[in-house]
Amino acid sequence: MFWKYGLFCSILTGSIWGLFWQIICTMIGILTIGEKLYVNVVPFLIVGSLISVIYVFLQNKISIKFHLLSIIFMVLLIYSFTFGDPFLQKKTNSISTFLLVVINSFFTWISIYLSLKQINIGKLSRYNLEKFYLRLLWGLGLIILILITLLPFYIMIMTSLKNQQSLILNPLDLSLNSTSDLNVLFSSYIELFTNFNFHIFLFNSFLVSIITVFVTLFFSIPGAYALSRLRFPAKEWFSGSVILIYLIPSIVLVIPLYAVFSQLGLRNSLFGLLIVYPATTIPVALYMLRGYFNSLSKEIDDAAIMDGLSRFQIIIKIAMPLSKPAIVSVALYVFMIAWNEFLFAFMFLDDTDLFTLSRGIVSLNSSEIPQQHLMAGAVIATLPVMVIFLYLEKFLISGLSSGGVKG
Amino acid sequence: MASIKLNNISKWFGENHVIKDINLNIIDGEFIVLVGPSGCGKSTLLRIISGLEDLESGKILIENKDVTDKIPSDRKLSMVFQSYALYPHMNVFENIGFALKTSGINKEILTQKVNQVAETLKLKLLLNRLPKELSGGQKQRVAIGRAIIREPKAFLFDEPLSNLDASLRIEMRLEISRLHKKLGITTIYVTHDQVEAMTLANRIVVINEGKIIQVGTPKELYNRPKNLFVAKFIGTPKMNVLECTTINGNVYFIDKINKKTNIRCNNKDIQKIGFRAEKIIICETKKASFIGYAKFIEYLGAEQFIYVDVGVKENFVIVKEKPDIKVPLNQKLGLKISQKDIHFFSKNDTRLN
Ligand SMILES: Nc1ncnc2c1ncn2[C@@H]1O[C@H](COP(=O)(O)OP(=O)(O)OP(=O)(O)O)[C@@H](O)[C@H]1O
Ligand SMILES: [Mg+2]
Repeated sequence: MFWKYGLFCSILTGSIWGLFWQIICTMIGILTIGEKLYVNVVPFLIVGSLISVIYVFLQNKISIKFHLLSIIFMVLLIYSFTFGDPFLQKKTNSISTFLLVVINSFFTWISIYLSLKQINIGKLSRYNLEKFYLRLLWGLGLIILILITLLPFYIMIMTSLKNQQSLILNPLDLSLNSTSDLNVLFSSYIELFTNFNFHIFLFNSFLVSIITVFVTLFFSIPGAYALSRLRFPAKEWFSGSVILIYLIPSIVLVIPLYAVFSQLGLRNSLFGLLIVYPATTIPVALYMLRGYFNSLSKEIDDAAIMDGLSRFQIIIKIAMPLSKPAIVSVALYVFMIAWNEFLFAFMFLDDTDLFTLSRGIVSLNSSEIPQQHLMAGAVIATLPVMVIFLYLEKFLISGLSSGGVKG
Repeated sequence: MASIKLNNISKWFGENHVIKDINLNIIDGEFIVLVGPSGCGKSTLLRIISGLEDLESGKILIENKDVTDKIPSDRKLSMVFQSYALYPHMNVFENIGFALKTSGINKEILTQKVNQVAETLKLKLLLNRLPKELSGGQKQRVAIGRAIIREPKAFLFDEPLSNLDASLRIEMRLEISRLHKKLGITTIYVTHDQVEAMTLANRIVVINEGKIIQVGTPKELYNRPKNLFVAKFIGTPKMNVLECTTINGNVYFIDKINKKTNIRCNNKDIQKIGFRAEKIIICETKKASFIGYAKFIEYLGAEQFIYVDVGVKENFVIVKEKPDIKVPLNQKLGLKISQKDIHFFSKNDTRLN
């Protein structure tokens, strides 16, 4: 079979990576240089295949020098195969295009090198073959994933730093403005905080999220402990059905709740939200914490009972310190839910003073408000969660895995 | 220090009758060992005594006071668990002192008491360590320390040594025995290791399927087991048990062709006969109680076990002998056992003699 031979593998790798990085670099070029670039398929396919075949033949002589020479050689190849115009700009080349080609060559070469390590030209053993295809797919998947997650972020941040004029001139030019004046660069943010009450929204969001976290933990820690340790009637039924609330879409809940909350006078208030949010987060919190408590030794509880602790004291002094990772991850999860919640905030809140961030950003969404303000709002809404998440990430991972072993 | 009485205790787990009407009187200062096969309800009984499990019917009396409805800490008992159950987030000092700290004792007295306990259990140098930094034996000592610091009325041990390796187990066994001698506190100790039971106990309680089969000193249980279950459970190697019948007062081993022996028994109900490996003597065939052929030998250094085919299919008689006696294989071998060392069992496995 031809696909079992190293030569085919190398041509395949070379053309895939050559094409892939060309598309990426064209995109990067469009977004950062702000010029019109086009994808140029055939030359890059050929150059990639050529280079990777060369690599497979010469891989025994690998050294830093070899890497450098190959990249330079690849740049030359690209320019010659595209007749000096790699991105079909129909004009004389600029420094930035040259840089792009170098970046392109660099990444293509590294990708080829990493996927074709220890692949020879002839028929491959089954192990090597599987290793090769897995490596290729893994690499492609990883890079695509990174791009998909980072690209919207990049666009969001860059747009938020532009001014109206340059955005209208070229909406796709997402390079950084050359100004060094921070007041100009961050003008959208300054605007949002001074004229659009974003400091109030931010405060409201923090208030609602943090209180939701505490209320949720306050009810779900003892609840989960009871579900995990105590014997009482209908326990299995109860712990199973708690999660059922997630079968009901919140859009179904919001309309009757709207009516009820209006009559009770809870509607246009943060207090109303603070009833709804914990109600939606407690079931999941219960579920996660119960799984974690189940994985803790019951004999420790027995020992504590013998030592004279009440169940309540056991929760405080034994169960909570031991389940710190689970509690942190639950808190983080609840915080994110409350922070990002939009539907109830949108339906319940009328006064600008009460808006949470997600509700506040939507209020910007009108034709008078420029796009970069919206983007700045989105950044303001995203950053706190990101920072908290990155800071507590280690807890989250250990919490999720150790709670997941016995659920 | 206290006596403990169990009156008609019964416990159900759903449909499962785990403890069946148990009565037991434990004398002040006694070392009682509960033994029985896995799943027979030993742990459950211990947890009922401690108060960790409530019970359907029956009464528990400590120092003749009814404590059936009291919560565990009011019963003033301490328990040592099989898994040690140390608090993972506290160091050794805090683990040992936790009960006293919870009861709100003065800090100086607490420190003094913990140090005293640590002294007794050779834990002085480990007081600042976390449980995960301790070896199995050290963890077990901390668990014991946590039990003794409260000066309880009785200790409850649930298979405390089963997670330790063989040599450490013997060492800790001695230590527990020594501790009991020193403190003289009533102790209830669960194990399924019958060597532990024999060496530690004042009295052994044999439990099977939630019922007490026999209560007695190790000697009583060994020499006069009440039924076949106890006979087989106590002692290594297991007691030799053969199916048999009597004709004219002579015992015959049952097989395709019954094998005649010179053992006498007048009881018509006899169905099984048992004798311990070390009570059998090799002798001339003329004087023998019964005759067999040595099939193979296990040499253990201090003794040897001889597997003898007495003509009963797939049922060797194990004979324990001194190591220096030469036994020829596959030759006629006379085996003698004195009448007083023989146990006869009836159809329903109860002892007849
Ligand atoms: N919490 C429980 N719920 C239901 N059944 C139980 C529970 N605890 C124990 N059992 C049952 O009760 C019986 C006795 O259990 P127990 O733990 O007392 O046995 P054990 O004698 O200690 O055994 P082992 O030597 O293996 O520890 C077993 O059949 C067990 O399945
Ligand atoms: Mg047990």
